[in-house]
Amino acid sequence: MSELTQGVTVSADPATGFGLAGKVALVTGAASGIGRATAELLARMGAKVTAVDINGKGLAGIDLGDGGVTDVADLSVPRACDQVVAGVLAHHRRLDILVNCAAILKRVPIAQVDAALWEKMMDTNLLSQFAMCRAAARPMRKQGSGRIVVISSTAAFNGGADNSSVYAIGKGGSLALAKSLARQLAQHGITVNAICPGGIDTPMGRFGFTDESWNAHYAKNVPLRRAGQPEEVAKAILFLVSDWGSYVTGHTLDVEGGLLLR
Amino acid sequence: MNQELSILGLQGRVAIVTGAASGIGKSAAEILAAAGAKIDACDVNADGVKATVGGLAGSGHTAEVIDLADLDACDALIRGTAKREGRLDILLNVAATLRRLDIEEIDEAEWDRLMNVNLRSQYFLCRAAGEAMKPGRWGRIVNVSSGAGLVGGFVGATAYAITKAGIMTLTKSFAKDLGPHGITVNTLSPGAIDTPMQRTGMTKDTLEAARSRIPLGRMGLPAECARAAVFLASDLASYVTGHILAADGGFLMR
Repeated sequence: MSELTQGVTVSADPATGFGLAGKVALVTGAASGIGRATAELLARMGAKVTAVDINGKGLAGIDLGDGGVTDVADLSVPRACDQVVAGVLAHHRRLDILVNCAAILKRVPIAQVDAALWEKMMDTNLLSQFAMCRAAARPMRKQGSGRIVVISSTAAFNGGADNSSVYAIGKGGSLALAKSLARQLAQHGITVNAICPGGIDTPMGRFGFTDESWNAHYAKNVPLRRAGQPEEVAKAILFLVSDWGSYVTGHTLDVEGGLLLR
Repeated sequence: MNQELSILGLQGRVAIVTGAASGIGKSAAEILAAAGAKIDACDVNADGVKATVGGLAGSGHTAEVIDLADLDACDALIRGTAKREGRLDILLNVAATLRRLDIEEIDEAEWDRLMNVNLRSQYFLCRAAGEAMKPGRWGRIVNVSSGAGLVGGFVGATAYAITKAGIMTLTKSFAKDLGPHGITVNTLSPGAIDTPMQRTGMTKDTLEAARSRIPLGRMGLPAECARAAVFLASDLASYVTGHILAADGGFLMR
């Protein structure tokens, strides 16, 4: 370490692992898809995970190991976000990692988008991320450390699939949210990054596709010639929230098989 | 071996790392070796690259002295490793040269040297490595660029910045070409990392000015940047290709 790297908290040892053992993590949207894969992977790497979803039934059967719990909440309501974080703090007295995966996708033509749909999707996809980050930042600032990931989408860059304008706009907001918070929280040792998943094999990803059209679409349009699995996104998230992602912040990591090449 | 690292899937992988005598390349070779990979470490600095290999975990690693301005040597490097090991899985292009010069001071010879060492070598190494990786239907290429390639560089790094922008484009081209063969090709864009190259031609004041512009408030360790490179070279990044990963403490915000 030199005067230029003062403040670094990770080791230069080449055998350094991910450092998740005993870390307290909160994963939203954990009933299915990317959220579920992420909650299970972080737990497998030793984190004590609280897995949250509005769908309590969907959380059944999730494998969080010994230290994990589930929580049912509607995160489109900011007060519920505060309560979820308060619950984690009451139990663990700290919060190290927040991964915001919760989102909904409704495909509606522009002409039929009304204020109610706009509000529902923006509250669930964007306001919830902001409210969760705001609630998590408080304990992380006190600790002087923390890792936050928000899930955006390739839709933020390419406008999304047909009839998903409000979804794409919200995901664009997630990118600005991540950068803005990254800038403001960096001085407290907190990193904030966004992930842009492309076509991932989840219930939401497949929405509106038949099996055949889904496979054909990604085999044709993506350099890797296939759609991705939720576990592959979870592994990229592991990098960002672990000791391995210590110098990455304000970044948008594309996990899309080369769809964007931006 | 730290058992946690087994999730990287690097045990038994054969990796070529250029620029392995110091800085990010040296650290990346050490981390890959710690995760179980077999390393062919290359550099123009003979003593440096031998010292790197001497310090690697595990056995069977090789040190190669090579000047990347020599295209035949680039080709021979890839073919030699693939023949000796019977496979090639990973190529980490870290080697680069930087002399801080004003625009007026960059003559044709300097221009050619920068282009040849930093950019042309990566093109021909990627091409040869792609061919060597295709039979295994698995491959990882990581090209180290720089934030300079996006924002023009600082303190006498104009031509250097141009080579680094070229690296980003070549990475995308190869990502398209090699993706169907199960080979990912990504760019790592380091910010200010505390390496010998970073300190080249800098004063205490210019270094401090560079540090103060970084949101995280510090430069990165070579190991922090090398871990980002090894992430891209591992199973953790199986659905990431053609991407520009910034390990820069928030400098670019992109």
